[in-house]
Amino acid sequence: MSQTQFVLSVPPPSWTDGEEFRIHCGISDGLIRNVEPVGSQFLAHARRKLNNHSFSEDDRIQEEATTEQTEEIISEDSEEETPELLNRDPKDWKEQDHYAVLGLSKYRWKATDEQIKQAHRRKVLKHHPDKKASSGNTNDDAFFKCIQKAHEILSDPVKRRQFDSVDEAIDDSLPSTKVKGDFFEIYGPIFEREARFSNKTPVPMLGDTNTSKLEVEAFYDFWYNFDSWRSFEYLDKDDTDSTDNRDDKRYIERKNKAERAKHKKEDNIRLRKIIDQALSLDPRIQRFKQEEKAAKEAKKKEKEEAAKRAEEATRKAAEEEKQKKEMAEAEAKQKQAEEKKEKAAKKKAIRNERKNIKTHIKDYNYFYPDNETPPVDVIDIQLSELDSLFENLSLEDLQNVRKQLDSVKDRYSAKKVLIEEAKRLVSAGTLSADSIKHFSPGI
Amino acid sequence: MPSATDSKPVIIGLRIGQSYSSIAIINKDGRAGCIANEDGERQIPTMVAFSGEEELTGTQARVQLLSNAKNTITQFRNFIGKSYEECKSIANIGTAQLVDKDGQAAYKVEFKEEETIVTVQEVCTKYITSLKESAENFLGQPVTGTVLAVPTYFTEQQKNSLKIATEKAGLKVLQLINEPSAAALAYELGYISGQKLMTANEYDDRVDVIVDLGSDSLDVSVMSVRSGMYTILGTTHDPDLGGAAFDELLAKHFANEFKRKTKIDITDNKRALVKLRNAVEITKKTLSSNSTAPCSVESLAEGIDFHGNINRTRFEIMANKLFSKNLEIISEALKKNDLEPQSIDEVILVGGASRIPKLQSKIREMFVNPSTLIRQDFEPEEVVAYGCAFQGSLLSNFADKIINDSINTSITSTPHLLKSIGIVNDKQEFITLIPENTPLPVRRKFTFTNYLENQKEIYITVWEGIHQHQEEEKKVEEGKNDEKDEGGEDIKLPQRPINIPDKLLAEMVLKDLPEKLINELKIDIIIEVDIHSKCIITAKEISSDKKLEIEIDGKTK
Ligand SMILES: Nc1ncnc2c1ncn2[C@@H]1O[C@H](COP(=O)(O)OP(=O)(O)OP(=O)(O)O)[C@@H](O)[C@H]1O
Ligand SMILES: [Mg+2]
Repeated sequence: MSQTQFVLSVPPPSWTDGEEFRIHCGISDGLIRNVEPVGSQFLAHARRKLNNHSFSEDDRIQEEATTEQTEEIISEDSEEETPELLNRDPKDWKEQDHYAVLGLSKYRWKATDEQIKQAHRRKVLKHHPDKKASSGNTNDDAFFKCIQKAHEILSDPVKRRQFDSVDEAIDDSLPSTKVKGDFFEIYGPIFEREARFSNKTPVPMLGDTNTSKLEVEAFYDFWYNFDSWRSFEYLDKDDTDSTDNRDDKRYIERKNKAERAKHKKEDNIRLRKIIDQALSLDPRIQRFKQEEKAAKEAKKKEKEEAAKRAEEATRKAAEEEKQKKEMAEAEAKQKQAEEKKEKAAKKKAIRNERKNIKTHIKDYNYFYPDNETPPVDVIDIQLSELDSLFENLSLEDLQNVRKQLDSVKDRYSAKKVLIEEAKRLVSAGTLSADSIKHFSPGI
Repeated sequence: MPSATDSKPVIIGLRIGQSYSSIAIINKDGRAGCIANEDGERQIPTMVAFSGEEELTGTQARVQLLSNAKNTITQFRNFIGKSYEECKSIANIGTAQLVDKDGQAAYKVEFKEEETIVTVQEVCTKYITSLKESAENFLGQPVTGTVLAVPTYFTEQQKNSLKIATEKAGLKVLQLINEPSAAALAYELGYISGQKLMTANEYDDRVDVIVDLGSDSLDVSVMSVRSGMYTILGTTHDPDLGGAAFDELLAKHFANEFKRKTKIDITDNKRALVKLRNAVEITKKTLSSNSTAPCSVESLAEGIDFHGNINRTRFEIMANKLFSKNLEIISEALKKNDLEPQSIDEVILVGGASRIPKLQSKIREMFVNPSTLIRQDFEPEEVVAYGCAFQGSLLSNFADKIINDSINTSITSTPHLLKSIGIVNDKQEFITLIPENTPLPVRRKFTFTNYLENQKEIYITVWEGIHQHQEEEKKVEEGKNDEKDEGGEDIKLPQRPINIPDKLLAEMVLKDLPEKLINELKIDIIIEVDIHSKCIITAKEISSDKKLEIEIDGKTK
């Protein structure tokens, strides 16, 4: 590509002098995809990501590494060989501890391929026959052969597994159920050690008291279905290559095969026992059982309580209902009483007013001059007509009439008040004109 | 002094095909090549046979296929890690019988005069063991490990099962990689024809389509390549296409011919069909290089021999439908990713059946834009194995732990840039610095320059870009394309889409620059985007060390 495209101009005239930059907008969110794990750029990406390094950090480290590389190798910590180890006969390689030979006894099955590679290189540099010869040592290359054998076995995944399967330096046993101590401290390492035989990874570990029930169940489930690669070819009796006789060979082969199967079966039983025992002693399982029981009981209790609560609730509701009813009744009664009282009061007021009016009439001497005595029949008529008038008057009307009578000064006006009232009633049609004579408007 | 220390680990690249497999190594000169087995074959039939007291594999198994079909296991690769139920309807007919072994797919054969059941995984182990031995015989030293290719449609379970089968064969599996990725890697690392792709910039950004026409299926993968990182954008898989479909056509054709000549119908004669299919595969291969090809089967049925002939044109007419189907699958793969043929930089042809000339010319017609390269520089059957061998040699520089951890999804799954990022230059053109689909985090460096003499300030605008399809169709330049030379001025070609600025992200001004002539100023622009879409841009004038750094936070932060 021509670089002529990579040319930049000057800022636009609108750009303010002091300004260095303006940020407008962030870039769009990325889309998650899978990169293919191939190529050197990917490996560099993985290296940065795994080590949590930025581009520049990684650059620096890579640079340093290339300059350093030339030096290292032998300096690393290494186990000293015991005299017994150095005097081993390479022919007895089957009995040889290959890890010890390479100085990896503390790692054993945990040793990485890289460690094995490095350890082998270290040992070779130290024990190579050429080197020994030049430093005046005996020309014995027996230990070198041991090293080569150890490397042959440990660097070959199949052979290494065969050896690891029967590695005697690792305890295979099951602790007695009577051993005292923390369950997790005792059984954790056992499962850790057995996990190495799993075809499936990752292998769930024992965990601790806080491990969830689900995980614990998954743990036992996994282990009861353990798929082990452990095999016992390493224990095969005579090497089948060492005899030429075909029949012998077949015989040995068959026997070895049977022997391997037997070992395998025993090993399965052994593992099964470990799991059974762990399961039976696992405090979590016991706790889960208790919890389950407690949960069940709690549920039962809860149920009972719920029933009780329901009963209580219906009872309470009924009571409330009753109370409400009673209250309503009382209220109604009170209201009735009040109404009655009111009615009575009204009646009384009406009576009073009527009386007052009659008193007024009497005071006006039945509209006769003061010095005359009104005839009895006139008083009768007046009073009876008043009564029929009163029949049609409400309390307010009566009060009204009475107030007017209170305020008038002479008997004429007083009579007029009554006549007016009679007139109103007659014209409203509530009172027949005949029933009113004395206070008839005509007079 | 020859000592054990300089015995480097020997890693082979393996591809196990449904019909053929190959073993690749990296030679002293750094190029990849395939190893021939003891019979001189580099395409080793994926077959295992039991014959009397002997187990036979590869070419040896194929040789005796016709005489011992029922004890010969073929087409088993795709069955690994699968249940019997999943496989029973697609099992090969005429060869060893597929049976159910505890739910697993297995084969029933007669071995050492006894009926024996072998699981698919065991078959694979036997087969891979023989490949390992072939490699060791060839190299004269033990092989320690392998990088193995798998089809993109393999399930986790299948991969696991294949891995176990391989380790049981005594080969450490360094990595399983996808077939198309292996092919792309082979093209990246091994240039034979010197035809290095002209890409937009030194970061080699491109979009590849890998067309793998094997024996049993067509697999099309669309892959974006950014700074040497590969991302499969999508795959399409058709299990009914592939070389065998062409064989089927030819077999039918010759069966008809046989019937016409002899009145014998072999449609239900399994044995005859195995023989005929075996023969027509050779006929088909011959047709790729010759204009006519014979087909001969001794004693095809009822003791009668068959001799036939077919010419290429006839075959191409017969196969026309298949060609169209193949092209359809390819364009489907493009469409799924919203791509047009003109947006593709390379089409990589993989798989033996991609050798068929007519298919190649049809693919060329589909990707008509001359900027799209159709590549078949490497043997199409072998290129996947080459890629594996290259990957193996790359891995030898890394610690086991990194190799193992690197294939974890926390490493492979990563955000990819949604839109391109670029700078608008003095001519107002958008210069893509980081294209869309680039995996994050990413860091890139570019050098820009000035357009005026003594330019004291330089103005940088950073944009997010989007694709735009070019409207006007340019004419083919004369003399560029020899085939279309005559009257070529009128041919219109679809143009590649270009990126145009869409959203302004930031503006920067680098000031007080030293006085330089036009194009003499060197401004390094380093752009780094992290997985949270945070973007850091550093502009630096080299001679004066004048520097400006800005940080653009991702949107969601
Ligand atoms: N020259 C040729 N012309 C046409 N077809 C060919 C040629 N050479 C090989 N083939 C076909 O290619 C197919 C084999 O290719 P390849 O080895 O890539 O397939 P595979 O990887 O085994 O199958 P798959 O990818 O489906 O698993 C066979 O069908 C074979 O007949
Ligand atoms: Mg293939």
